[in-house]
Amino acid sequence: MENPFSAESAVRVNRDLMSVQVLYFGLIRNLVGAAEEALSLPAGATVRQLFDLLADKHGAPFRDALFTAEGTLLANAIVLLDGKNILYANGLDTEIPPDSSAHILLTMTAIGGG
Amino acid sequence: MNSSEPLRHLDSPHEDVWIKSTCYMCWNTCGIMVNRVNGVAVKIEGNPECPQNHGKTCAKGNSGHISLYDPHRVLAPLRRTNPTKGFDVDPMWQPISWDEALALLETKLKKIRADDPRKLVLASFDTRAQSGIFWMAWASAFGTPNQWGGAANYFCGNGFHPVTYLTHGTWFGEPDLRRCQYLILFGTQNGSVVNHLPMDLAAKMADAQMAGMKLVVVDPVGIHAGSTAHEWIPIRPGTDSALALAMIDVLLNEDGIYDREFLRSFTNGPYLVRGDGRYLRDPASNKPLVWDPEAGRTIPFDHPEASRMALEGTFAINGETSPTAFTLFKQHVRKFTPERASEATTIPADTIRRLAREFGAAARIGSKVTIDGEELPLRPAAANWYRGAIAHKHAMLNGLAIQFLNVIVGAIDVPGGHLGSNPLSETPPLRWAPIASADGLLIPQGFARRRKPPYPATKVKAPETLDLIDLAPVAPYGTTFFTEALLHPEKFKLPYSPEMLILSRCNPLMTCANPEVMAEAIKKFPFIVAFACEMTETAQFADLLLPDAHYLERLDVFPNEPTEFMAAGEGEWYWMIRQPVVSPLGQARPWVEVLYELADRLGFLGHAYQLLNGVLDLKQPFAYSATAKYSWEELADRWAKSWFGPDRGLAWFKENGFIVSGRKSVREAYPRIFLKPRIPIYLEYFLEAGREVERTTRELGIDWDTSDYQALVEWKPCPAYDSARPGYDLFVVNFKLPFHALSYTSRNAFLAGLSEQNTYAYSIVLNADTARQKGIRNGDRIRLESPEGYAVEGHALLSECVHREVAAVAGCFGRKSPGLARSYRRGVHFNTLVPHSFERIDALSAALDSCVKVKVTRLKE
Repeated sequence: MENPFSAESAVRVNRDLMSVQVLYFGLIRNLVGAAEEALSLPAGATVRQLFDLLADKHGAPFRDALFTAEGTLLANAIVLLDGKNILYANGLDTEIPPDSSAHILLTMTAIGGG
Repeated sequence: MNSSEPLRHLDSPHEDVWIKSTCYMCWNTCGIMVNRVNGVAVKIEGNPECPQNHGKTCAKGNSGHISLYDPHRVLAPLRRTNPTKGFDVDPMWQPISWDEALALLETKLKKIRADDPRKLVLASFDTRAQSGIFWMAWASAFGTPNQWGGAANYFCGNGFHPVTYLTHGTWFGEPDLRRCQYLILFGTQNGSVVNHLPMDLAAKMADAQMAGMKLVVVDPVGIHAGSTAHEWIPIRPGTDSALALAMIDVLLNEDGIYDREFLRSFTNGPYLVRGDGRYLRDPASNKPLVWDPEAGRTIPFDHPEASRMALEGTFAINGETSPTAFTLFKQHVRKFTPERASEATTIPADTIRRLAREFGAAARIGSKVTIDGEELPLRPAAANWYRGAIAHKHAMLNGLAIQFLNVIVGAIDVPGGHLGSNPLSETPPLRWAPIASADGLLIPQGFARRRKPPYPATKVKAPETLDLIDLAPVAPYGTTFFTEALLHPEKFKLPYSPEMLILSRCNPLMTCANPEVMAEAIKKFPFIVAFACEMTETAQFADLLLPDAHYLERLDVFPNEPTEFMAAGEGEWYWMIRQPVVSPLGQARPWVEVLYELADRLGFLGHAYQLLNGVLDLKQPFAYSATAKYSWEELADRWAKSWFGPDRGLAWFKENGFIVSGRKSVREAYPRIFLKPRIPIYLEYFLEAGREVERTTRELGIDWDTSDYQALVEWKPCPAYDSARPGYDLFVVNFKLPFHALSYTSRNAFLAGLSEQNTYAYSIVLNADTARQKGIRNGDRIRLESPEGYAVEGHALLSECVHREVAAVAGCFGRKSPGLARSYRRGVHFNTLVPHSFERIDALSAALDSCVKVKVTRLKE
């Protein structure tokens, strides 16, 4: 079945597209090879759909760098939507407002032991 | 005051102030008051108002200013001129200026960053507070994922933290000493001014014992915690989980003492399991299924009628018989009979049965207590564990087995039981609560996300980092693998070689394993930059040695992370500050501030700020601007104001030392019954994780042990048990003293003086009967030698407080750097005896096995 949120589909769909500016910080830049990019998504799309689109574009390493084997965000992956952490909204199911700016951060996790 | 100024008016002080700060003589964070007279820190006491330690400090905390003014401190940048590196090699240091040092670093870092930023490695145990969070953001903005603990985390909490993550949803845990009536400690000295929250737990332990709590200490060494216990149970090293599983067997299969309601409601015990070990899942939703005994059918675990799900039983479903996970668990532990455990542990079977029954009875299953109007289960029995039980090859399985004692009696995050360190917060400035995975199991949130939880498993793939964490999907960190990757890069096929190590506040040559092996590993770095207060063994291997600020010279807001350094259970939410008491001596500078100056020179300062805005959840108008450049104090001030409001900036914290942001509600203190996510007693997800590791390592041609990826916990003997070489008949163990931590404190003149007065500190402790049989007398000079040929020497101390098969060595002594005047070659260095090999590392948790057999020989004086 065609992924309705694939890059190709997003371009084909004429109705109600919105733009999202995605900015990368930290270790994810190594993988994406850019500091930011502009994308088009169907109006009302969620963060999860944004990531589907990005994973289509950047491949499996992108998904593996940000998600657990079960598909939850890694502890060291932070997603801000217009400056607000999606964990304090609806997580990956947070709806993206039009003309949003999404910050995707990937940092080291702290280690310990003591 | 500038430290180079002469002291003035000592006979008539014009300044005599007490400054509130936070101790850093161990990894805990006690509130302190430092008396500064005429610019000199002269005395340290506990801050009586601080909830962290109630005005108490230990000997380590009292002596922090002695390290500050140590005449052997590193106080100027030095550059190595002798390319040869070794313990007895003179680095031939030459002084250079900070300007020269920074220019050199800028050039080298710029080249690495342009080439492949992963070639830079940062190593530090300074992982908390402003410094910890900021250097990790620095590294992430630079572009390197390579961090190396290089410290005690080779074997300390590896089998503890993943277990508290899985069962509490947080990084640390402790017994609820306010209400506990029966506590068993496995290989930890909680409450004896050692390990976690030493002053808080020491006070609570004393109160609990005065109030009648029975303390049982299971440990090969009974010198400190054991001597204050009602009962000390000497155990053969590495067999703690055999004891725990036998106790579970007695409770489940002999006496039927277990909390059925807790197991049904709060664990995955009711989940049905297929013949291949995987959950039986709903074909439509893929959710694990449970058995509804009233309807006689399967339903998803989160079905509205699932409250009546069966905990036990085997059910015929679609032609296959499916037991519940708890049924499998219960059957599985049958093989750990007290008789079998007795053979492993040397503890009599009758004693094991008695301990199990005492524990089960003390848990008072079914009892309730009302706190602030909320009726809660009361389970006043707990088992706790730490390094002694888990510094072993099968660390994570060991830790799980002990924690499951608490789980089966329902003593998890309820009054009296084992508590997680604040897995739930509903109090500003930060709120968090564990969430449920698709399978209904606990996923930590909030501050606990600063570290890597073991669940859900991370994706297994060809390793990108030197800690090989990509091949350890359920480990919280892979520090120990780092050494193997450095020593044997061809084995792991990393796509690059490390170029530079930046290191601070850790000393891998002394705190990890045999120093010669660790030295070979560290020499793989072509260029080493060490920030150091003292001339440690590792600092001696540096190419560039930079003077680091002492903790009494530096600013760090919020060092007491709530998932580790804030007491669990009832109490207050509080946030502390570590502030400079004096200006840095000589040319010392706080190491992370230096990194941020380099970030500015290298052009990624704004990038680091933007990462920090996300990590710290900073809000406008206090969030960091990507185009600004802030001082360290401004960064702290903005952070404090963003979290606590514009009138609670750095100045307020400097004056007050800490803030109490609220009293914990009952839900926050005892969250278990208020949370939906479940605890896994059946580790089904290990099966898939292990399969992925096996597949990936096979494809990569890496020989990797996956046998511990099993759904049911198990005791397995350490590799040392396979050694049958004649004469190597004792186990050597390491134990902690209340006045030392890590390697850092051993050079402190006050504490070194205490060690010289203490009977145990610099000795090798042998069981008196065993020693006599070997013709060894008190005070004899003896040699311990491992099968690998590693050896240490020291004076024998004969004691009844050590297991008859054990030689015990305290602390981290026997320092090898001549620059550490008071501790150089004093005492015995335990880690010298610890081999480092891939076969001795726990594939689940990356713990290094410190179970070593030795031959003891009496030497002529």
